[in-house]
Amino acid sequence: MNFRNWIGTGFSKLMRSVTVLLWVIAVIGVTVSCDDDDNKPSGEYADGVFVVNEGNFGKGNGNITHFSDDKIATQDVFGLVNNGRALGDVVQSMTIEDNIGYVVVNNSKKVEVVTASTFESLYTIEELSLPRYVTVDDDFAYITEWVSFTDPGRVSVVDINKREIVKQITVGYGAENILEDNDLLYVSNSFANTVTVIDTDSREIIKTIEVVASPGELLEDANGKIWVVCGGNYGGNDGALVQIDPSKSKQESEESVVKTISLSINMAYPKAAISPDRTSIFYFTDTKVYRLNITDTTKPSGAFIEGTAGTSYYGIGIDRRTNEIYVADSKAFAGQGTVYRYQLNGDAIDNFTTGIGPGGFAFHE
Amino acid sequence: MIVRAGVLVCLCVVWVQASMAQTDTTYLREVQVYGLPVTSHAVGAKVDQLEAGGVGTLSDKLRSDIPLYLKSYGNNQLSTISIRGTTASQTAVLWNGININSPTLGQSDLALLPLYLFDELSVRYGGASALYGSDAIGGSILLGQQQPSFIKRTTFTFDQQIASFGRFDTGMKAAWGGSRWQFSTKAIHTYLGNDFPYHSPAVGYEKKQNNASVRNYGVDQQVQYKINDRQYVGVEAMYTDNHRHVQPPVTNNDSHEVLNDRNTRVSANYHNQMSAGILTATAAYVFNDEDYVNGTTSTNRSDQLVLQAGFNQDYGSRLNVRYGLSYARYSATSANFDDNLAEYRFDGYVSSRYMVSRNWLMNLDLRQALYDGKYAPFTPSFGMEYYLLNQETQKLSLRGQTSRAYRVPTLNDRYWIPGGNPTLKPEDAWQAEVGVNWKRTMDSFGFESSLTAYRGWVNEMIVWRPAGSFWSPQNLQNVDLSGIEAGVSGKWKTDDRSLKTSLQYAFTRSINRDALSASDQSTVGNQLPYVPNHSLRINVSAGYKSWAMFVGGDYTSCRYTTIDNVSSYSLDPFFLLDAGVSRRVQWTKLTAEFTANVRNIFNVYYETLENHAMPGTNVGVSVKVRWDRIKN
Repeated sequence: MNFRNWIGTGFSKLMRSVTVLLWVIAVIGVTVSCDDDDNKPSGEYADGVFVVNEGNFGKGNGNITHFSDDKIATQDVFGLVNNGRALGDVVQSMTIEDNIGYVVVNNSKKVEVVTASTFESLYTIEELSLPRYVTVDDDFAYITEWVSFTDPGRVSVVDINKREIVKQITVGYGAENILEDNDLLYVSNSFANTVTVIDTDSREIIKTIEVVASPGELLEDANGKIWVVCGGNYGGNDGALVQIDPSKSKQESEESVVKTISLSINMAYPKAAISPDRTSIFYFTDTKVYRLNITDTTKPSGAFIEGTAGTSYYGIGIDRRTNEIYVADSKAFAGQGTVYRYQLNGDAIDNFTTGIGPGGFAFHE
Repeated sequence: MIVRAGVLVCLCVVWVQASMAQTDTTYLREVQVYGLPVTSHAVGAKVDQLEAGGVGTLSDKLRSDIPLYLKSYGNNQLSTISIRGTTASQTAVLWNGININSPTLGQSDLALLPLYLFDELSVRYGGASALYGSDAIGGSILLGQQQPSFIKRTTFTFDQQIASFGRFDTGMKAAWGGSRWQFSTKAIHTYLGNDFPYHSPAVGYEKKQNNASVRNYGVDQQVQYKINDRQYVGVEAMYTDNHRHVQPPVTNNDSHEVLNDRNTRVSANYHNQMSAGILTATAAYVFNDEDYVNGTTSTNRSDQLVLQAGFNQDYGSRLNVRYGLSYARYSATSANFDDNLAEYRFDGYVSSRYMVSRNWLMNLDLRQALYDGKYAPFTPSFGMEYYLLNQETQKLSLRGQTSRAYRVPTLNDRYWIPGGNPTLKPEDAWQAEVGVNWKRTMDSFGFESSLTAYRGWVNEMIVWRPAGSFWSPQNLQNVDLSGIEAGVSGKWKTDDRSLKTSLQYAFTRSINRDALSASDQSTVGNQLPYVPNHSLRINVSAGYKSWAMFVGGDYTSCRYTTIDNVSSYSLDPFFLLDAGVSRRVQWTKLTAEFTANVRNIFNVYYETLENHAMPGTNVGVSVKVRWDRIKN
């Protein structure tokens, strides 16, 4: 054993004692304070928003920033809580369901499962292949995976009680976002121009809907329709928002697409958010955020938010509890990013610093 | 380690300790310092001559011998250099005077170059585009072979090394020379399992490195023919083949990426020592073939055909002028290029050296290059050396150099689909340096020192940024460089004992001058990523009769990995210590040298690239056998 290890062992023993002591204090504190019927999850990170910071590809420096209701930004909460462990390489997305956070780490080919309110690591789902997004329905988590750049994508079904993959369903190329609606799963195939519909009972594909090239984000609007945000072809300026009617999903022959709104731009990142009343869709390019009303039939005439020159918008989210819009600027991944906050009417509130490449948000329910 | 650069009185090493390298077995031999033709017009500049020919990569050699920064994806993995705070693309790598940086990437992976296949290696610091053309902004690495001697000599060398983590190196060299013909053959094979254990704080437990094995081999053949006392022709062909599993970041368990690189380099040289001057002509062909395999294979190929002619003429005893022309055709194929991507470049240069007096030397170099029908910046360079003391036992000289340098945008920068920007301008830099060298020689004792201070301004640096639906490069960044390089060395020798020490230190500031975007003001005044402020190398070797031992230390200070200089993304400073012992045995014409060494004695976990593990303590044994016969 060398000197450094020796110091390290001594230190970690000390830290363990300190941790135990802190736990004792925490437990006493919780016991004393939890005397009302407040059944909200408790913990350091029980409120606010989590920002998913992708990190630089191949550098393993992706992480999660927490921004509390008290407006305190805490960087790398996963590392902070879990003894400095790195979350991994290309942190793609985070989904919260029943106070469990599913953090997808694309190039580390895993999903880290944490307690959302404390960010303590629970377990890791491995043996995934370039995972992207997660949705949870009852006792199952559904994880989309690209698999590779040449193989069709798939959805892995994880039994969250047994913590194991129980089925894999092959879908289209570049399986990206996933949305559960009425016991049906909608999966956007981002390397193609289709959305795959899967029945959660049979776990079989029941329909493939043709949309526009590079479909990504899937959003459900106030009328129960599903919007597909399509980035379009490289340089084709043919990005579009496609509205589909889920009531047609079970009939192979019926047209699912209600309307297609051409945006005359490309979106490198077909990500979007919907307002809390589910009537306005917010999508973005590198320097502009746009708002579209679900009843609109043509693209918006101008930008809703315009960034300064050199801005690189990379993610958007809306906190349904506070009606605040969060827009992430990746700053070209050269360093820490910034998240700008706005009121629903577009008035700027403030901003805070994140990790590298902020690209997604997860809000407490 | 307390190093205060401002007040540090340090002095630099001009003789470079022969091989403190990790894998070399020949560390007792001293480097012969003599002017390479390619550096003879580098008056006033700092040049380090290092020993080539050992087992190991160019990257390992540079890292152990001089305080430069090598950014490595792992042990023998992709490795790029930073000289004087610049980027790998701002370093020219020349083989036989030809820039072998990849035309598509604009840089060289120094782990792909086996040192065994080269006889000569030197590093020229600072801007040198007037001599070497594009890329020579921060410094230049010059690789080459010995000039032919046409003496009757036969040598045979065999090297074998076995080291930790499944490392086997086998090398052979054979050379035969006569009065007309000279042949030299070199071959090297390296296998490295690289399954070393490491304990990264980002992982939290000891892990074994996966997917990092490396297999390299290379051959080099030279043939020279002396036409008459004035003329000779030579041909060299080199082929290197590297099969590497790409070491993933410590956070990734399941990784299968592979890089296969095949590099072919052929050159034919003609040399004619005419009464009016020396005429040299070179025709060379360089072919780079890289496959990246990750489920599917993507192939990038590039080649260059180069024709060069130079004429070196003395005007009286004081003035020497070299003129030259160069023509190059670059081409590349990749799924991200249009078919038949090719471009032509022409360079014309004049280099002159004037001896004002025995103690005063001046140098003016000029170059104009034309690429793809566009003018590269016109690059002048002016240098001077003045000896305050110029005696057999003591020399004290002042030197200075100032120059302009440039970098032509790479083929990727201009033609990558999508995003390539054909309107990019070349990167444009100015730099100036001053130095003092002091050398004292006594019977059994020698001492040398040097101190260099420099400043540089790099403008129009190319940065890829998001631009609409894809990323695109722009001439965006401006960087101020400044630093101090200092070294001191001493050697002491009696009949059967010897001691050599050397200490070299570099203080480097590489400062982002302007914000890259309006929301980016906080990065102004920050140090560029992966440029340590302090870098130190200490080498000590001692010999007694046939025995020798050496100790080598490397201190590298904290490095930021992001332009905003956030400490949570920075890499910890490290100090590495290597040591070894060797014994040389001689039987008439046969010499054998046995070496055992330990590297990273303190088992330090360190990274030169974020979250990429480097090995802890490791050991190796090696033998070198050399048979040498000279006929008179």
